[in-house]
Amino acid sequence: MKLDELYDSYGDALYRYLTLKLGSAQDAEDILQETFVRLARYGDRARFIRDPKSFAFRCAHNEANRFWKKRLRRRNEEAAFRPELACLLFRGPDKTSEIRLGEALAGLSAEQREAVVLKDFEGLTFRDIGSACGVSTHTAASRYRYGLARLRAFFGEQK
Amino acid sequence: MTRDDRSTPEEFKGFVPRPAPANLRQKVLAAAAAGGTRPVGRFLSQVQWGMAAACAFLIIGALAGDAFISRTLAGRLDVLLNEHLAASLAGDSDRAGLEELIGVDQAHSIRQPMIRPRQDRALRMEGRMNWNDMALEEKEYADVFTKSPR
Repeated sequence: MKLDELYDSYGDALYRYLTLKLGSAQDAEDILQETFVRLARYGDRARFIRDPKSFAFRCAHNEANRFWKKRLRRRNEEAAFRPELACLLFRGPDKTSEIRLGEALAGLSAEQREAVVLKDFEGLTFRDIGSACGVSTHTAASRYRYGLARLRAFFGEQK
Repeated sequence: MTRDDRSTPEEFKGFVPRPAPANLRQKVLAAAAAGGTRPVGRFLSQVQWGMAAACAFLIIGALAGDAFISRTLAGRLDVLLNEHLAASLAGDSDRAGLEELIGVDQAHSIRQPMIRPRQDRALRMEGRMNWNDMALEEKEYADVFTKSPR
């Protein structure tokens, strides 16, 4: 698969995933660029990639982790998800519901949030999520289930 | 498969993912095109191919050389061993027998075992002899051992 085709198919999803993971749209743009540079270096070997979608997400995941390792060395800070980011990533019926979704997602752990967003918004299967995040399919599924339970609890309280 | 696996939760209904910024595509693809073929990476790749080719050449050369040596020199070694065996069997006292066995010319070319292994070892242990001066002293020792006084 060519890079432009790859970008057209998964570029937006990767951007959202990276924004969610890094907590910053600016950083997500940089890391998306790094991800595609890395994918470009595969050159002819890219034809051996069986599942370009999971592979691209895995590359993005690794690049994001690499970025965080570097940043943690410089400054002692953790990736934080701010509820406003949900407005940047998802379009809801109104602004209030977007903020509510952001608050609900902010209440999850980073792994649960990752699993929930990749599953419900990006349409990845548990196998794809496991492959992208470097965990087993069952771990991805349980992260998703726990995350969903917490989201439901959050929305239940809101009602 | 669980129920969660099949259906989108009710809470997420009505939300649509937003696309990435419009200018990002061009930026990312330009960076990938520039960064994906770095000169250093390309050079290293060529070096790797060069090393692989050199290794393959050496391996093939070694195998071919081994086959050549086996085929050409093995026969020659066989001949030499046979000659040596014949000389040993004949013994230095029976020069005529040796000449009969392998011919006069061949028998002449084979050096007689003037110093027998046990004597040779004894001499070398005493430090009186080394391999370099053995040829010079051969005749002297031969005289000593063939004409030993009783």
